Amino acid sequence: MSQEQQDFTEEVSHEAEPWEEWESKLVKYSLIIGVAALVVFGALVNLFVLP
Amino acid sequence: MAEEKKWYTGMFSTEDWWSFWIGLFFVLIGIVAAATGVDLSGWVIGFEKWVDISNVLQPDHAGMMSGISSLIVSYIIFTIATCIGAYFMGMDMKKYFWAWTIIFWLSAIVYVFSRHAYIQATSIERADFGIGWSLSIGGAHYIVALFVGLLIGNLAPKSFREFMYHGARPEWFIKIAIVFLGCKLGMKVVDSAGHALTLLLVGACATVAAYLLFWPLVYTLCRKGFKLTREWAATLASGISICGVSASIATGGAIRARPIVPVMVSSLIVVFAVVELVILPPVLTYTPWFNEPMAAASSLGLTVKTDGADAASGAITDQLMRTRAQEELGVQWEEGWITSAAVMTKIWIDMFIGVWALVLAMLWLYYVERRPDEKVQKMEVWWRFPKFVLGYFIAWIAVGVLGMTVIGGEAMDWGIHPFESTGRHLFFILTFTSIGLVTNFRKLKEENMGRLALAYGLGLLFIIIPLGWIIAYIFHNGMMPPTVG
Repeated sequence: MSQEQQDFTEEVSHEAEPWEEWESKLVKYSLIIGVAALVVFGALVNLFVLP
Repeated sequence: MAEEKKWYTGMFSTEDWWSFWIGLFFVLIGIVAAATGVDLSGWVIGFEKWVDISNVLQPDHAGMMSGISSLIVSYIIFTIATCIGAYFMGMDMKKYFWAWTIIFWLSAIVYVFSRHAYIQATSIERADFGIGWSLSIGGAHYIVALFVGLLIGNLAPKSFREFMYHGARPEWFIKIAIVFLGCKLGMKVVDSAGHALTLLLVGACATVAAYLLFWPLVYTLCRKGFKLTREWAATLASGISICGVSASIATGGAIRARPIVPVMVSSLIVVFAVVELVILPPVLTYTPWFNEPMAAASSLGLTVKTDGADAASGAITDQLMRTRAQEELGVQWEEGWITSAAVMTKIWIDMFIGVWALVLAMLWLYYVERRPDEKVQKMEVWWRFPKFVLGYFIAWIAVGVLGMTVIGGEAMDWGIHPFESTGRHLFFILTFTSIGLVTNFRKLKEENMGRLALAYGLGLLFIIIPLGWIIAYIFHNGMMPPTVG
């Protein structure tokens, strides 16, 4: 295995940090806003814009 | 001490800005030609379908010069323009020039032979060419260019492959083509203002929704399913969810990831985008998506993760769907609308990179690196903003407004058509050849790349594509391209 490949293997194999509360919040709020945007914009676009 | 960044930093040294400058320079030439009636733009080379090879090369303004002269003039002018950009970007000029030259002429040869009527003529056109059959593969030149590039990029000697990287700049070429595409949308506004504005609006809505759903789901998959570290997970999530290479680089910068992270993610993105580019256009064309051409094209913008591959797959889908519509429905859809739908959602996604990079930069500062006293500059949004998008909108507005007012639609079409259509197609094929040249399938064989590739593949297959299809349908259902005439 080349040095470059060894370095890369070590990079990817680093042990993952524990999942933290801020990550839960980031995921949760992104999904909530995303679903809300989908519903609200989807309804508005289908009611007023699309043929 | 690091140099302080100003608002104009990179204006003459980055690929993004040089797409802006070169794209708008030619747009300006087209507008001046339209305004004055002086033929400054008709030299751009076009490649027509043919049975007699002497007819394949035609300047955009027929009769302005011979086909071969037009090809040579186009080579000289576009070479000068891109060499100026390459010089300011600090590239090795000698290597860029020769690699670009090989790519240009290779693409031209592929373009010529792929435009043969037996390959591309529709059933309706066969009689005009005096032939009894044809494969009717619209856009075959793009696919052939891609495969020729892939062959060289994967099978040629390493020294030659590495030499070709100096000129193979797919992201740059496609960004110039996208600025040209802005002119096309400007002309669409002249012809059909309502349709273009609808596309703009629904594209923005679809992007906001998609953005906020893709990223957290892929991030969670990477972190919890594949136990990746935060820097790998965030960079991979941005790459697969947002805008491929640009997003992974922007995210890598925002979270201060080690350079290897965005580089490896970018190589994955490019490989997967090529696979999508080959598979998705025929899938969309020959399934019920054919009944929703604009939604289908928009889904490409949400699912194909490089600008080049997205615009390219949009162009192939445009050709395939229009060919099928003409043959089976007897309807001739206007060229360019399907490509525009694919590009529009991607452009909105590109624009949000800056915002998302800012959000991630703040999260990393405040939570990961624990430096609550350090402030993230709001200018980060501007620095991350893809500047070719500015060029796209300026071209769109300038052509649309001037075409509807002082210059007039007919004159504007005459002046700008060589770039918005013929020149754009030329840069598309340069992009395809270049994508093939820089796509190295060997990367997937590297140790542990399999784990990242699996995360990427599963995320794409089970999160991005299904959600992208649903969102594209919700926001584009019922939209059809205008018909010719």
